[in-house]
Amino acid sequence: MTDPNHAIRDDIAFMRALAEEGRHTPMLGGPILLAAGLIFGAANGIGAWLAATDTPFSNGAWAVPLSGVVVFMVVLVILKVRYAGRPGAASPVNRATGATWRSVGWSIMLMVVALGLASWKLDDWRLMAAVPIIVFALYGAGWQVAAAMTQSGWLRWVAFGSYATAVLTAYFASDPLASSLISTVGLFALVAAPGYVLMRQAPSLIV
Amino acid sequence: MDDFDIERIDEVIHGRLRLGIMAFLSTAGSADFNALKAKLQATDGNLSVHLRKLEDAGYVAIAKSFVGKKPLTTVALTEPGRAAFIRYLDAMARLVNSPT
Repeated sequence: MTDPNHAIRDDIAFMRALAEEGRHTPMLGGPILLAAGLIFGAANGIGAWLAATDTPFSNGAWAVPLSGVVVFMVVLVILKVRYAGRPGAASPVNRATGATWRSVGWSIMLMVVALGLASWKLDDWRLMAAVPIIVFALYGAGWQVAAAMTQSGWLRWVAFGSYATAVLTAYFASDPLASSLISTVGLFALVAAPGYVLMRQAPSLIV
Repeated sequence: MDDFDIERIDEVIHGRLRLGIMAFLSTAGSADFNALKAKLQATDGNLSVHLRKLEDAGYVAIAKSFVGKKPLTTVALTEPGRAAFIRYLDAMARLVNSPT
């Protein structure tokens, strides 16, 4: 026989979990960052490998990161639909971090287009060496906001790591292979890995 | 043993509209007056009265500002308000669990 109070108890437990969660809201969006880190990291690594080796596909190495963007956009739409309206999504922490990471994404996309355009106009594609520098600087800003909003000390270290990677890629700007390898490691370690940790910390849908 | 105590039910929260306000703010953190009004299907006057009661208890903080020329009233759940809401839910859980 079923307990008639069971559903009420579950509802109260659910509301309590939401109220508690609002106090120390975990940052959502971990799956998106995990996907971004894995997809862009893999695309970057494959692109660097193709550029460094002599294969029939090596001439198309430049297109690999661009295909990464397309794959990520598809995954992003799927994840957004899947995780829409999750508990805590409307909390100030997640509104602020969500807006910040959206801005980071838009800034990166615009910066790549703008630098590509400038490189084409100047007929000097060395300008594109600035892409990973600016990308990691923006990631640093994203993580710094996330660290401040969630009051997570470890995210502050991820932000510093991103800033350091920006400087490191700048140092190796004259060596595209080294710069690409640093970016690949950076994407896995400073985007995918923290994204995975955040995903594990996020509350489940069922309390 | 019956561990339910009627005194533990917070009267400030225990009202349909005030409970709705607290439940909404417990996840949203803050909301503007019109969003709350729409969400809770309340009238201006009714919502104002209940918000004032919650504000008097220190459960919500109300801030008035302007966006352009339009006045904007923002309601935010305070930390004591969140703690009171959690206590209220715990009391309700005990009520449900207590033998009839």
